[in-house]
Amino acid sequence: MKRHSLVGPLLMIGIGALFLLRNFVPDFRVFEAVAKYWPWLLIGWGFLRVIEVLNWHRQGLLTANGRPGGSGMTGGEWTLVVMVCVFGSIIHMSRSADFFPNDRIRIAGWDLVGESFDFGLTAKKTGAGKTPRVVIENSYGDVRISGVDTEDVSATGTKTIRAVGRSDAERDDKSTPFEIVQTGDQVIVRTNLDRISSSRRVRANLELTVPKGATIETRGKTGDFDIENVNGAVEVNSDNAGVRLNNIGGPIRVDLRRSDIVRVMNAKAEVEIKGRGQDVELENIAGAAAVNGQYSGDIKFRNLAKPLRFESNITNLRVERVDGEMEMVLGKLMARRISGPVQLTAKSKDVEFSDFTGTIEIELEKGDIDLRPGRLPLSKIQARTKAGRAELVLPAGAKLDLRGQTKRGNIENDFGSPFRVNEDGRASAVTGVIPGGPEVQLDVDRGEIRIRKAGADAPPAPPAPPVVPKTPLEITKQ
Amino acid sequence: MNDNRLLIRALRGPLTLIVVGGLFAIDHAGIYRFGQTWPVLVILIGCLTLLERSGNQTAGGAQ
Repeated sequence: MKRHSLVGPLLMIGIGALFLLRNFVPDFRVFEAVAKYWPWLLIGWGFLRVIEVLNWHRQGLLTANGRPGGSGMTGGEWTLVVMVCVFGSIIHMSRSADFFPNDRIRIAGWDLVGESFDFGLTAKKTGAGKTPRVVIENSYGDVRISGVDTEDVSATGTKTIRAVGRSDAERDDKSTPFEIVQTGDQVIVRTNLDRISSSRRVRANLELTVPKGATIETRGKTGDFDIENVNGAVEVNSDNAGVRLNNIGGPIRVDLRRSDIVRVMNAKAEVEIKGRGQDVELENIAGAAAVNGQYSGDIKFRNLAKPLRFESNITNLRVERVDGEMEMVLGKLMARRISGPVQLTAKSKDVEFSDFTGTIEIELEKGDIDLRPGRLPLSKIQARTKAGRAELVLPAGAKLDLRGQTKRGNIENDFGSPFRVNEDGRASAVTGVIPGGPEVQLDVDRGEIRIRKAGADAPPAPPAPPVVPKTPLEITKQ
Repeated sequence: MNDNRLLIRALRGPLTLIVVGGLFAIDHAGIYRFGQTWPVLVILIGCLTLLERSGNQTAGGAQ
Protein backbone atom coordinates (compact mmCIF):
# COMPACT_ATOMS: atom_id res chain seq x y z
CA MET A 1 0.00 0.00 0.00
CA LYS A 2 1.36 3.35 -0.98
CA ARG A 3 0.88 6.45 1.11
CA HIS A 4 1.90 9.90 -0.03
CA SER A 5 3.06 12.52 2.38
CA LEU A 6 1.15 15.70 3.03
CA VAL A 7 4.29 17.82 2.95
CA GLY A 8 4.39 18.44 -0.82
CA PRO A 9 0.86 19.87 -1.18
CA LEU A 10 1.17 21.88 2.05
CA LEU A 11 4.41 23.42 0.79
CA MET A 12 2.65 24.55 -2.38
CA ILE A 13 -0.26 26.02 -0.40
CA GLY A 14 2.22 27.88 1.83
CA ILE A 15 4.17 29.38 -1.07
CA GLY A 16 0.96 30.45 -2.80
CA ALA A 17 -0.37 32.04 0.39
CA LEU A 18 2.89 33.90 0.91
CA PHE A 19 2.75 35.58 -2.49
CA LEU A 20 -0.97 36.25 -2.21
CA LEU A 21 -0.29 37.99 1.08
CA ARG A 22 2.31 40.15 -0.58
CA ASN A 23 -0.13 41.20 -3.28
CA PHE A 24 -2.82 42.24 -0.83
CA VAL A 25 -0.75 43.54 2.09
CA PRO A 26 1.65 46.05 0.51
CA ASP A 27 3.88 46.34 3.58
CA PHE A 28 4.56 42.63 3.66
CA ARG A 29 8.02 41.81 2.33
CA VAL A 30 8.29 38.23 1.15
CA PHE A 31 12.05 38.30 0.83
CA GLU A 32 12.62 39.51 4.36
CA ALA A 33 10.08 37.11 5.85
CA VAL A 34 11.75 34.20 4.08
CA ALA A 35 15.20 35.35 5.20
CA LYS A 36 14.10 35.45 8.81
CA TYR A 37 11.70 32.59 9.22
CA TRP A 38 12.82 29.88 6.78
CA PRO A 39 14.17 27.58 9.58
CA TRP A 40 10.61 27.28 10.86
CA LEU A 41 9.72 25.67 7.56
CA LEU A 42 12.13 22.82 8.39
CA ILE A 43 10.77 22.55 11.91
CA GLY A 44 7.17 22.41 10.71
CA TRP A 45 8.07 19.93 8.02
CA GLY A 46 9.78 17.69 10.61
CA PHE A 47 6.81 17.78 12.96
CA LEU A 48 4.46 16.91 10.13
CA ARG A 49 6.55 13.86 9.30
CA VAL A 50 6.68 12.81 12.94
CA ILE A 51 2.89 12.90 13.09
CA GLU A 52 2.63 10.96 9.86
CA VAL A 53 5.11 8.32 11.03
CA LEU A 54 3.29 7.89 14.35
CA ASN A 55 0.04 7.52 12.45
CA TRP A 56 1.48 4.87 10.16
CA HIS A 57 2.92 3.11 13.18
CA ARG A 58 -0.47 2.96 14.84
CA GLN A 59 -2.03 1.54 11.73
CA GLY A 60 0.82 -0.95 11.42
CA LEU A 61 1.89 0.39 8.05
CA LEU A 62 5.59 0.74 8.81
CA THR A 63 7.72 -1.56 6.69
CA ALA A 64 11.45 -2.08 6.61
CA ASN A 65 11.83 -0.49 3.19
CA GLY A 66 9.77 1.45 0.71
CA ARG A 67 7.02 3.80 1.67
CA PRO A 68 5.54 4.21 4.13
CA GLY A 69 8.23 3.40 6.60
CA GLY A 70 11.93 3.13 5.85
CA SER A 71 13.84 6.02 7.25
CA GLY A 72 10.86 8.37 7.32
CA MET A 73 12.52 10.71 4.87
CA THR A 74 13.38 9.87 1.29
CA GLY A 75 16.62 10.78 -0.45
CA GLY A 76 14.77 13.29 -2.59
CA GLU A 77 13.45 15.03 0.51
CA TRP A 78 16.92 15.31 1.99
CA THR A 79 18.15 16.92 -1.21
CA LEU A 80 15.34 19.44 -0.94
CA VAL A 81 16.23 20.10 2.71
CA VAL A 82 19.86 20.77 1.81
CA MET A 83 18.75 23.15 -0.95
CA VAL A 84 16.43 25.00 1.44
CA CYS A 85 19.29 25.35 3.94
CA VAL A 86 21.71 26.69 1.33
CA PHE A 87 19.26 29.18 -0.18
CA GLY A 88 17.91 30.22 3.20
CA SER A 89 21.40 30.91 4.50
CA ILE A 90 22.32 32.92 1.40
CA ILE A 91 19.18 35.06 1.63
CA HIS A 92 19.69 35.54 5.35
CA MET A 93 23.30 36.62 4.87
CA SER A 94 22.42 39.06 2.13
CA ARG A 95 19.66 40.59 4.28
CA SER A 96 21.84 41.03 7.33
CA ALA A 97 24.35 42.87 5.14
CA ASP A 98 27.12 40.42 5.97
CA PHE A 99 27.45 40.23 2.23
CA PHE A 100 29.26 43.51 1.96
CA PRO A 101 32.64 43.54 3.61
CA ASN A 102 33.54 46.59 5.66
CA ASP A 103 29.94 47.22 6.52
CA ARG A 104 29.15 48.75 9.85
CA ILE A 105 26.40 46.28 10.61
CA ARG A 106 28.98 43.54 10.38
CA ILE A 107 31.06 45.21 13.04
CA ALA A 108 27.96 45.34 15.23
CA GLY A 109 27.58 41.59 14.70
CA TRP A 110 31.16 41.05 15.76
CA ASP A 111 30.48 42.73 19.06
CA LEU A 112 28.90 39.47 20.15
CA VAL A 113 32.21 37.63 19.99
CA GLY A 114 35.17 38.21 22.29
CA GLU A 115 35.77 41.19 24.52
CA SER A 116 36.70 44.71 23.62
CA PHE A 117 39.69 46.53 25.03
CA ASP A 118 40.22 50.28 24.79
CA PHE A 119 43.56 51.99 24.41
CA GLY A 120 44.03 55.74 24.64
CA LEU A 121 45.71 57.54 21.77
CA THR A 122 47.51 60.87 21.93
CA ALA A 123 50.07 62.41 19.65
CA LYS A 124 51.19 65.88 18.73
CA LYS A 125 53.37 67.44 16.09
CA THR A 126 54.46 70.96 16.96
CA GLY A 127 55.57 73.53 14.44
CA ALA A 128 53.69 72.11 11.48
CA GLY A 129 53.31 75.59 10.05
CA LYS A 130 50.29 77.70 9.25
CA THR A 131 49.27 75.87 6.09
CA PRO A 132 50.38 72.24 6.36
CA ARG A 133 48.99 69.43 4.32
CA VAL A 134 47.52 66.92 6.76
CA VAL A 135 46.94 63.36 5.59
CA ILE A 136 44.83 61.11 7.82
CA GLU A 137 45.00 57.37 7.31
CA ASN A 138 42.53 55.56 9.51
CA SER A 139 40.94 52.48 7.98
CA TYR A 140 38.32 51.78 10.64
CA GLY A 141 36.74 54.38 12.86
CA ASP A 142 35.43 57.91 13.02
CA VAL A 143 37.56 61.00 12.61
CA ARG A 144 36.71 64.51 13.72
CA ILE A 145 38.88 67.37 12.56
CA SER A 146 38.61 70.99 13.47
CA GLY A 147 40.78 73.91 12.49
CA VAL A 148 41.96 76.25 15.24
CA ASP A 149 44.47 79.09 15.60
CA THR A 150 47.62 77.03 16.05
CA GLU A 151 50.67 75.72 14.24
CA ASP A 152 50.44 72.25 15.76
CA VAL A 153 48.67 69.12 14.70
CA SER A 154 47.43 67.25 17.74
CA ALA A 155 45.27 64.20 18.12
CA THR A 156 43.50 62.33 20.89
CA GLY A 157 41.33 59.31 20.60
CA THR A 158 40.52 55.75 21.51
CA LYS A 159 41.52 52.53 19.84
CA THR A 160 39.16 49.64 20.47
CA ILE A 161 40.48 46.16 19.89
CA ARG A 162 38.28 43.12 20.03
CA ALA A 163 40.18 40.08 21.24
CA VAL A 164 39.84 36.95 23.33
CA GLY A 165 42.14 38.16 26.10
CA ARG A 166 43.98 41.26 27.25
CA SER A 167 47.39 39.94 26.23
CA ASP A 168 46.18 39.41 22.66
CA ALA A 169 44.72 42.90 22.61
CA GLU A 170 47.95 44.39 23.91
CA ARG A 171 49.99 42.60 21.27
CA ASP A 172 47.66 43.98 18.61
CA ASP A 173 47.91 47.43 20.11
CA LYS A 174 51.71 47.31 19.86
CA SER A 175 51.67 46.19 16.26
CA THR A 176 49.41 49.10 15.26
CA PRO A 177 51.30 52.14 16.53
CA PHE A 178 49.60 55.50 16.32
CA GLU A 179 51.89 58.10 14.84
CA ILE A 180 52.10 61.58 13.42
CA VAL A 181 55.06 62.01 11.08
CA GLN A 182 56.17 65.05 9.15
CA THR A 183 57.89 65.10 5.78
CA GLY A 184 58.39 68.58 4.39
CA ASP A 185 55.13 70.45 4.83
CA GLN A 186 53.15 67.21 4.84
CA VAL A 187 51.96 65.81 8.16
CA ILE A 188 50.73 62.22 8.15
CA VAL A 189 48.45 60.94 10.91
CA ARG A 190 48.43 57.16 10.79
CA THR A 191 46.68 54.49 12.88
CA ASN A 192 48.24 51.53 10.99
CA LEU A 193 45.20 49.39 11.69
CA ASP A 194 45.73 47.47 8.46
CA ARG A 195 48.78 45.80 9.96
CA ILE A 196 46.82 43.27 11.99
CA SER A 197 44.56 40.71 10.43
CA SER A 198 41.07 41.99 9.91
CA SER A 199 39.60 38.94 11.66
CA ARG A 200 40.32 40.71 14.95
CA ARG A 201 38.27 43.82 14.70
CA VAL A 202 39.85 47.13 15.50
CA ARG A 203 38.61 50.66 15.33
CA ALA A 204 40.14 53.98 16.16
CA ASN A 205 38.07 57.06 16.84
CA LEU A 206 40.15 60.20 16.56
CA GLU A 207 39.77 63.87 17.34
CA LEU A 208 42.22 66.14 15.66
CA THR A 209 42.95 69.83 15.83
CA VAL A 210 44.87 71.28 12.94
CA PRO A 211 46.00 74.77 11.93
CA LYS A 212 43.16 76.75 10.36
CA GLY A 213 44.95 77.03 7.03
CA ALA A 214 45.52 73.29 6.68
CA THR A 215 44.73 71.22 3.65
CA ILE A 216 43.15 67.89 4.58
CA GLU A 217 43.23 64.55 2.88
CA THR A 218 41.65 61.50 4.49
CA ARG A 219 41.72 57.83 3.57
CA GLY A 220 39.49 55.30 5.28
CA LYS A 221 37.51 52.15 4.78
CA THR A 222 34.74 52.40 7.35
CA GLY A 223 33.93 55.30 9.60
CA ASP A 224 32.61 58.82 9.56
CA PHE A 225 34.44 62.05 8.89
CA ASP A 226 33.45 65.32 10.52
CA ILE A 227 35.54 68.26 9.44
CA GLU A 228 35.02 71.93 10.27
CA ASN A 229 36.68 75.33 10.20
CA VAL A 230 39.41 74.51 7.72
CA ASN A 231 40.51 77.02 5.11
CA GLY A 232 42.41 74.70 2.78
CA ALA A 233 41.19 72.06 0.38
CA VAL A 234 39.50 68.97 1.79
CA GLU A 235 39.57 65.58 0.17
CA VAL A 236 37.73 62.63 1.68
CA ASN A 237 38.18 59.10 0.34
CA SER A 238 36.47 56.11 1.90
CA ASP A 239 34.76 52.84 1.10
CA ASN A 240 31.93 53.51 3.50
CA ALA A 241 31.47 56.70 5.44
CA GLY A 242 29.15 59.38 6.61
CA VAL A 243 30.71 62.74 5.82
CA ARG A 244 29.84 66.05 7.43
CA LEU A 245 31.77 69.14 6.45
CA ASN A 246 31.16 72.60 7.80
CA ASN A 247 32.83 75.91 7.13
CA ILE A 248 35.47 74.87 4.61
CA GLY A 249 37.49 77.47 2.70
CA GLY A 250 39.09 75.41 -0.05
CA PRO A 251 37.71 73.15 -2.74
CA ILE A 252 36.05 69.95 -1.50
CA ARG A 253 36.23 66.53 -3.05
CA VAL A 254 34.36 63.61 -1.54
CA ASP A 255 34.82 60.20 -3.10
CA LEU A 256 32.92 57.33 -1.49
CA ARG A 257 31.79 53.90 -2.44
CA ARG A 258 28.96 53.86 0.08
CA SER A 259 27.57 56.46 2.44
CA ASP A 260 24.61 57.06 4.65
CA ILE A 261 24.95 60.83 4.49
CA VAL A 262 27.11 63.44 2.84
CA ARG A 263 26.45 66.90 4.21
CA VAL A 264 28.39 69.99 3.21
CA MET A 265 27.55 73.35 4.75
CA ASN A 266 29.15 76.74 4.35
CA ALA A 267 31.76 76.01 1.70
CA LYS A 268 33.53 78.91 0.08
CA ALA A 269 34.83 77.08 -2.99
CA GLU A 270 33.67 74.32 -5.29
CA VAL A 271 32.28 71.01 -4.08
CA GLU A 272 32.53 67.70 -5.87
CA ILE A 273 30.81 64.58 -4.57
CA LYS A 274 31.16 61.18 -6.14
CA GLY A 275 29.88 57.80 -5.09
CA ARG A 276 26.75 56.03 -4.08
CA GLY A 277 24.72 56.14 -0.91
CA GLN A 278 21.65 57.60 0.65
CA ASP A 279 21.32 61.25 1.67
CA VAL A 280 23.13 64.24 0.22
CA GLU A 281 22.78 67.76 1.60
CA LEU A 282 24.47 70.87 0.32
CA GLU A 283 23.82 74.22 1.93
CA ASN A 284 25.39 77.65 1.51
CA ILE A 285 27.92 76.77 -1.15
CA ALA A 286 29.76 79.66 -2.79
CA GLY A 287 31.46 77.62 -5.52
CA ALA A 288 30.20 75.32 -8.23
CA ALA A 289 28.70 72.05 -7.02
CA ALA A 290 28.85 68.70 -8.79
CA VAL A 291 27.16 65.57 -7.50
CA ASN A 292 27.74 62.38 -9.39
CA GLY A 293 26.43 58.94 -8.52
CA GLN A 294 23.51 56.92 -7.25
CA TYR A 295 21.73 58.16 -4.12
CA SER A 296 18.66 56.49 -2.74
CA GLY A 297 17.76 58.84 0.11
CA ASP A 298 16.88 62.51 0.30
CA ILE A 299 18.93 64.89 -1.77
CA LYS A 300 18.72 68.52 -0.70
CA PHE A 301 20.31 71.63 -2.08
CA ARG A 302 19.96 75.01 -0.42
CA ASN A 303 21.44 78.33 -1.31
CA LEU A 304 23.96 77.48 -4.01
CA ALA A 305 25.53 80.59 -5.53
CA LYS A 306 27.16 78.91 -8.51
CA PRO A 307 25.94 76.31 -11.00
CA LEU A 308 24.89 72.89 -9.78
CA ARG A 309 25.40 69.73 -11.78
CA PHE A 310 23.72 66.51 -10.72
CA GLU A 311 24.25 63.30 -12.63
CA SER A 312 22.95 59.83 -11.89
CA ASN A 313 22.09 57.03 -14.25
CA ILE A 314 18.49 58.19 -14.47
CA THR A 315 18.69 61.93 -13.88
CA ASN A 316 20.74 64.67 -15.41
CA LEU A 317 20.30 68.15 -14.02
CA ARG A 318 21.96 71.51 -14.40
CA VAL A 319 20.85 74.57 -12.50
CA GLU A 320 22.46 77.97 -12.72
CA ARG A 321 21.71 78.96 -9.16
CA VAL A 322 19.62 77.74 -6.26
CA ASP A 323 18.57 80.76 -4.18
CA GLY A 324 15.92 78.83 -2.36
CA GLU A 325 15.90 75.07 -2.14
CA MET A 326 15.71 71.98 -4.22
CA GLU A 327 14.83 68.53 -3.00
CA MET A 328 14.85 65.12 -4.63
CA VAL A 329 13.10 62.25 -2.94
CA LEU A 330 12.15 58.98 -4.58
CA GLY A 331 10.77 59.93 -7.96
CA LYS A 332 10.08 63.54 -7.04
CA LEU A 333 11.98 66.72 -7.71
CA MET A 334 10.79 69.89 -6.04
CA ALA A 335 12.43 73.27 -6.32
CA ARG A 336 11.56 76.70 -5.06
CA ARG A 337 13.36 79.89 -5.98
CA ILE A 338 15.88 78.65 -8.51
CA SER A 339 17.45 80.50 -11.41
CA GLY A 340 17.89 79.23 -14.93
CA PRO A 341 19.10 78.17 -17.28
CA VAL A 342 17.83 74.89 -15.89
CA GLN A 343 18.24 71.70 -17.86
CA LEU A 344 16.69 68.48 -16.68
CA THR A 345 16.42 65.10 -18.32
CA ALA A 346 15.07 62.22 -16.27
CA LYS A 347 13.61 58.80 -16.79
CA SER A 348 10.86 58.93 -14.23
CA LYS A 349 10.28 61.93 -12.01
CA ASP A 350 7.48 64.21 -10.94
CA VAL A 351 8.84 67.70 -11.28
CA GLU A 352 7.57 70.73 -9.44
CA PHE A 353 9.27 74.08 -9.96
CA SER A 354 7.89 77.17 -8.30
CA ASP A 355 8.98 80.77 -8.11
CA PHE A 356 11.76 80.39 -10.66
CA THR A 357 13.42 82.69 -13.16
CA GLY A 358 15.46 82.02 -16.26
CA THR A 359 14.99 79.53 -19.04
CA ILE A 360 13.78 76.04 -18.23
CA GLU A 361 14.26 72.90 -20.28
CA ILE A 362 12.68 69.69 -19.04
CA GLU A 363 12.54 66.33 -20.75
CA LEU A 364 10.93 63.38 -18.98
CA GLU A 365 10.25 59.82 -20.03
CA LYS A 366 7.54 59.63 -17.44
CA GLY A 367 6.24 61.97 -14.78
CA ASP A 368 4.20 65.09 -14.12
CA ILE A 369 5.49 68.59 -14.68
CA ASP A 370 4.26 71.42 -12.48
CA LEU A 371 5.51 74.89 -13.33
CA ARG A 372 4.66 77.97 -11.28
CA PRO A 373 6.87 80.82 -12.35
CA GLY A 374 6.30 83.26 -9.54
CA ARG A 375 8.24 86.20 -10.88
CA LEU A 376 7.94 88.26 -14.04
CA PRO A 377 9.10 88.60 -16.73
CA LEU A 378 8.91 85.01 -17.88
CA SER A 379 11.76 83.32 -19.73
CA LYS A 380 11.69 80.63 -22.33
CA ILE A 381 10.22 77.32 -21.15
CA GLN A 382 10.42 74.02 -22.94
CA ALA A 383 8.82 71.15 -21.07
CA ARG A 384 8.18 67.70 -22.43
CA THR A 385 6.92 64.47 -20.87
CA LYS A 386 6.05 61.28 -22.67
CA ALA A 387 3.58 60.17 -20.05
CA GLY A 388 2.22 62.46 -17.41
CA ARG A 389 0.44 65.72 -16.75
CA ALA A 390 1.80 69.18 -17.46
CA GLU A 391 0.51 72.13 -15.49
CA LEU A 392 1.43 75.76 -15.92
CA VAL A 393 0.29 78.33 -13.40
CA LEU A 394 0.75 81.84 -14.75
CA PRO A 395 0.97 84.91 -12.56
CA ALA A 396 -1.18 87.89 -13.39
CA GLY A 397 0.38 90.13 -16.02
CA ALA A 398 2.47 87.36 -17.58
CA LYS A 399 3.50 87.85 -21.19
CA LEU A 400 4.15 84.79 -23.30
CA ASP A 401 3.72 82.93 -26.54
CA LEU A 402 2.14 79.66 -25.45
CA ARG A 403 2.17 76.47 -27.48
CA GLY A 404 0.93 73.39 -25.72
CA GLN A 405 0.03 70.08 -27.27
CA THR A 406 -0.85 66.59 -26.17
CA LYS A 407 -1.10 63.60 -28.49
CA ARG A 408 -3.57 61.80 -26.26
CA GLY A 409 -5.37 63.73 -23.58
CA ASN A 410 -7.41 66.74 -22.66
CA ILE A 411 -6.44 70.33 -22.23
CA GLU A 412 -7.96 72.42 -19.51
CA ASN A 413 -7.67 76.15 -19.94
CA ASP A 414 -8.66 77.95 -16.77
CA PHE A 415 -6.71 81.04 -17.77
CA GLY A 416 -9.20 81.86 -20.50
CA SER A 417 -8.42 84.15 -23.39
CA PRO A 418 -6.24 84.72 -25.27
CA PHE A 419 -5.47 80.98 -25.10
CA ARG A 420 -7.58 78.73 -27.27
CA VAL A 421 -7.94 74.95 -27.15
CA ASN A 422 -8.27 72.97 -30.37
CA GLU A 423 -9.23 69.32 -30.28
CA ASP A 424 -8.34 66.98 -33.08
CA GLY A 425 -9.44 63.44 -32.39
CA ARG A 426 -7.59 62.32 -29.28
CA ALA A 427 -4.99 65.06 -29.63
CA SER A 428 -5.42 68.59 -28.36
CA ALA A 429 -3.48 71.81 -28.62
CA VAL A 430 -3.58 75.12 -26.83
CA THR A 431 -2.11 78.27 -28.32
CA GLY A 432 -2.22 81.95 -27.66
CA VAL A 433 -0.04 85.02 -27.44
CA ILE A 434 0.13 87.76 -24.86
CA PRO A 435 2.51 90.02 -26.80
CA GLY A 436 5.96 90.85 -25.52
CA GLY A 437 6.83 87.53 -23.89
CA PRO A 438 9.04 84.49 -24.56
CA GLU A 439 8.10 81.17 -26.06
CA VAL A 440 6.56 78.66 -23.68
CA GLN A 441 6.23 75.15 -25.01
CA LEU A 442 4.50 72.22 -23.34
CA ASP A 443 4.64 68.82 -25.05
CA VAL A 444 2.85 65.77 -23.73
CA ASP A 445 2.58 62.44 -25.49
CA ARG A 446 0.03 60.88 -23.18
CA GLY A 447 -1.63 62.95 -20.49
CA GLU A 448 -3.39 66.22 -19.93
CA ILE A 449 -2.30 69.84 -19.91
CA ARG A 450 -3.67 72.47 -17.57
CA ILE A 451 -3.21 76.21 -17.80
CA ARG A 452 -4.15 78.13 -14.68
CA LYS A 453 -4.03 81.61 -13.29
CA ALA A 454 -2.13 82.21 -10.07
CA GLY A 455 -4.11 83.68 -7.16
CA ALA A 456 -4.18 87.52 -7.21
CA ASP A 457 -0.95 89.40 -6.34
CA ALA A 458 1.11 87.50 -3.81
CA PRO A 459 3.95 85.93 -5.76
CA PRO A 460 5.94 84.33 -2.93
CA ALA A 461 2.94 82.65 -1.35
CA PRO A 462 2.24 79.28 -2.94
CA PRO A 463 -0.88 79.41 -5.06
CA ALA A 464 -3.83 77.30 -4.06
CA PRO A 465 -4.50 74.72 -6.75
CA PRO A 466 -7.66 72.72 -6.14
CA VAL A 467 -6.09 69.29 -6.59
CA VAL A 468 -2.88 69.01 -4.59
CA PRO A 469 -2.17 71.47 -1.79
CA LYS A 470 1.45 72.58 -1.87
CA THR A 471 3.45 73.65 1.14
CA PRO A 472 6.90 75.17 1.09
CA LEU A 473 9.71 72.69 1.46
CA GLU A 474 10.86 72.00 4.93
CA ILE A 475 14.48 71.25 5.63
CA THR A 476 14.31 69.67 9.03
CA LYS A 477 16.48 66.60 8.57
CA GLN A 478 19.37 66.38 10.96
CA MET B 1 11.94 -6.98 12.67
CA ASN B 2 10.81 -5.26 15.80
CA ASP B 3 8.05 -2.68 15.68
CA ASN B 4 9.82 -0.21 17.98
CA ARG B 5 12.94 -0.40 15.94
CA LEU B 6 11.03 0.43 12.79
CA LEU B 7 9.39 3.37 14.51
CA ILE B 8 12.67 4.84 15.73
CA ARG B 9 14.25 4.38 12.35
CA ALA B 10 11.32 6.12 10.68
CA LEU B 11 11.46 8.95 13.19
CA ARG B 12 15.20 9.52 12.77
CA GLY B 13 14.85 11.62 9.62
CA PRO B 14 12.04 13.92 10.80
CA LEU B 15 13.67 14.49 14.21
CA THR B 16 16.97 15.40 12.55
CA LEU B 17 15.08 17.83 10.35
CA ILE B 18 13.42 19.48 13.35
CA VAL B 19 16.75 19.90 15.09
CA VAL B 20 18.42 21.31 11.95
CA GLY B 21 15.59 23.83 11.64
CA GLY B 22 15.83 24.66 15.34
CA LEU B 23 19.58 25.27 15.16
CA PHE B 24 19.16 27.60 12.19
CA ALA B 25 16.37 29.45 13.99
CA ILE B 26 18.66 29.89 17.02
CA ASP B 27 21.40 31.11 14.68
CA HIS B 28 19.12 33.69 13.06
CA ALA B 29 17.87 34.89 16.42
CA GLY B 30 21.49 35.72 17.20
CA ILE B 31 21.80 33.52 20.29
CA TYR B 32 24.31 30.86 19.19
CA ARG B 33 25.75 30.52 15.72
CA PHE B 34 25.22 27.36 13.70
CA GLY B 35 29.00 27.05 13.56
CA GLN B 36 28.95 26.56 17.33
CA THR B 37 25.91 24.31 17.69
CA TRP B 38 26.26 21.78 14.85
CA PRO B 39 27.76 18.99 17.06
CA VAL B 40 24.29 18.63 18.57
CA LEU B 41 23.27 17.01 15.27
CA VAL B 42 26.00 14.36 15.52
CA ILE B 43 25.02 13.58 19.10
CA LEU B 44 21.36 13.31 18.12
CA ILE B 45 22.02 10.89 15.28
CA GLY B 46 24.28 8.84 17.55
CA CYS B 47 21.57 8.64 20.24
CA LEU B 48 18.88 7.62 17.76
CA THR B 49 21.09 4.90 16.31
CA LEU B 50 21.80 3.63 19.81
CA LEU B 51 18.08 3.60 20.63
CA GLU B 52 17.36 1.68 17.46
CA ARG B 53 19.94 -0.99 18.38
CA SER B 54 18.72 -1.34 21.96
CA GLY B 55 15.14 -1.69 20.67
CA ASN B 56 16.40 -4.54 18.56
CA GLN B 57 18.11 -6.26 21.50
CA THR B 58 15.14 -6.09 23.86
CA ALA B 59 13.17 -7.85 21.16
CA GLY B 60 15.40 -10.88 21.67
CA GLY B 61 18.58 -9.88 19.97
CA ALA B 62 17.83 -12.20 17.07
CA GLN B 63 18.96 -10.97 13.68
